[in-house]
Amino acid sequence: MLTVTAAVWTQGIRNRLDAALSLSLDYVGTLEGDWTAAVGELAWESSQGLQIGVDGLNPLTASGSALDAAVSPVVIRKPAIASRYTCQVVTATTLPDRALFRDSLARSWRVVEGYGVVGVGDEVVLEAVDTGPVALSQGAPSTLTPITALVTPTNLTYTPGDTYAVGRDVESDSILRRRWALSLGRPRCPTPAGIRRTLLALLWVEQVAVARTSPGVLAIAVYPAPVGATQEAELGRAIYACVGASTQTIGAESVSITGVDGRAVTVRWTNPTTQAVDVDVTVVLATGTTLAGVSGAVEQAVLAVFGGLAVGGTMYRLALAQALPGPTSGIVGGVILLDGVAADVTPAAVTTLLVPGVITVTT
Amino acid sequence: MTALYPWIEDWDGHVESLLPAPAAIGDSLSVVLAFAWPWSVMESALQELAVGLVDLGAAAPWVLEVAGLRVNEPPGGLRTTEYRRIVEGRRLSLGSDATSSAVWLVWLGLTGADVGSATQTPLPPAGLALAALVAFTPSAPWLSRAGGVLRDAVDASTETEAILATATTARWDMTPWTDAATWAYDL
Repeated sequence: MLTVTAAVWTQGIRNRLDAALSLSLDYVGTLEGDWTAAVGELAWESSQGLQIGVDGLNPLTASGSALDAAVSPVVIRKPAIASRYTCQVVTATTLPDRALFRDSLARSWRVVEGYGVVGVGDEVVLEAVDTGPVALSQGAPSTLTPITALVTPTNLTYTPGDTYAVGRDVESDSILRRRWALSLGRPRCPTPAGIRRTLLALLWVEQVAVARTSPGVLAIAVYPAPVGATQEAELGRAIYACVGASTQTIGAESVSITGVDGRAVTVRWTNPTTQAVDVDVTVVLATGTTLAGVSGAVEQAVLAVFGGLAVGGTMYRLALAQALPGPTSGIVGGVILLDGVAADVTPAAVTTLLVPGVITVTT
Repeated sequence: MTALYPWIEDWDGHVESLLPAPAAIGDSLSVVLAFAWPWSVMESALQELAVGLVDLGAAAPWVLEVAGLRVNEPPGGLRTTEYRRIVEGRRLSLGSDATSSAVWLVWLGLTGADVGSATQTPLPPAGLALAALVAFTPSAPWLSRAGGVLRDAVDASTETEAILATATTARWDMTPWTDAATWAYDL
């Protein structure tokens, strides 16, 4: 609507000026020419600002803080969260609040619960200093050594199976945009969009699929699977809050929560299965561009498209082609194969999530 | 007078009111009005936007597109009248709590104000049948997208049937009508 150039504005001003004065002014190398050109330039700057404001209303094109405003209040960007692990004290000591420890990969953790005078085997909760998916091994015990100078230093041990919650990065623009598109419904209501909005608002939930298997019966798939009793109960309460009073939920997973009448209610759901898709990208490079220079960007583009898939969603080769870096990045063409075939990939079931397998970039 | 700037009765008059008397006559006024013209265009655009986002019926096509994109409904080649119904329906669907009244509003928003007659009937078990006689011939893309909007407005566990008829197809409210009559449009 407002996307015009400074020259268009300038010409419009000159036309109106000539019409109003009943003259045909000479605008080349004259004062009138300089004035009208300057005002035309100013008008272009103003209209560009207005255009940017209008574009910012569109969640499909807005980014960053403009996207936050465009998708609010339907969805609000999920903040970064730090990982939390429950560990055991090895030696009796006094732990100050926020005492610092480091793991075998030199990542820092601080004590947030259980500090003070502690004995052998006592539990303390550690939080990663850095936000994001900082995880300890679930295959073998982890030893955390103290950084903070203590009167009696002690190691802490995390044993796989003990309570933990892996953190996450701040929600990206593409994920926030996808969540918004899936959440265009009233929260805590039994509509498909309302259920998706309610469940996707849980901090750890990334994907939700809702399917009616028969009248009055719903199959709800949630990805990733809830970890621990706390997340299971949180999910159960969220499902209970948004499905209809007469609706039955089915699925292999279940949790018992307290209903509004004070009695136990069993809520069921399904943890989606994942299906890996190998991606082979053969690129045609512009002169002077090297494969090493673009392969990283290509892999990131492929991962971003997978990140935007919903449970049961099809991976389209066209979506990948659109996402790949273009000629300005030195890629002037190419071929994309999914699982070795030039065809789109549809998951085996509506409760299956396609995830990236081996990504190969060649020339 | 505009909704955005109620104190502006008309743009040229507003510009003139800002000028000192010696500059508000003759060629001086013409020059200033010409220089101020671009901002009258932008003010008009803002006015269109402010009005159209509130009242879809009065929205200019470009404003309708802005309103549609706000609810993830790009035009996608639909005719303006059809697109207006999709955007209206999606907006109403956004607030649906799946009750009869909410679904009814979405149904009327989708089918438009020129609907001849419309009904919604509960179907056991957990089912809902919607029907409307409309004055327009729906296109295939509109039928597909209207179905999507409607599905997002009803209870997820409800089996929903939605049928449209036009004056030239079998009409659901005519009696008698035969079993041989077919419904032309099934969302």
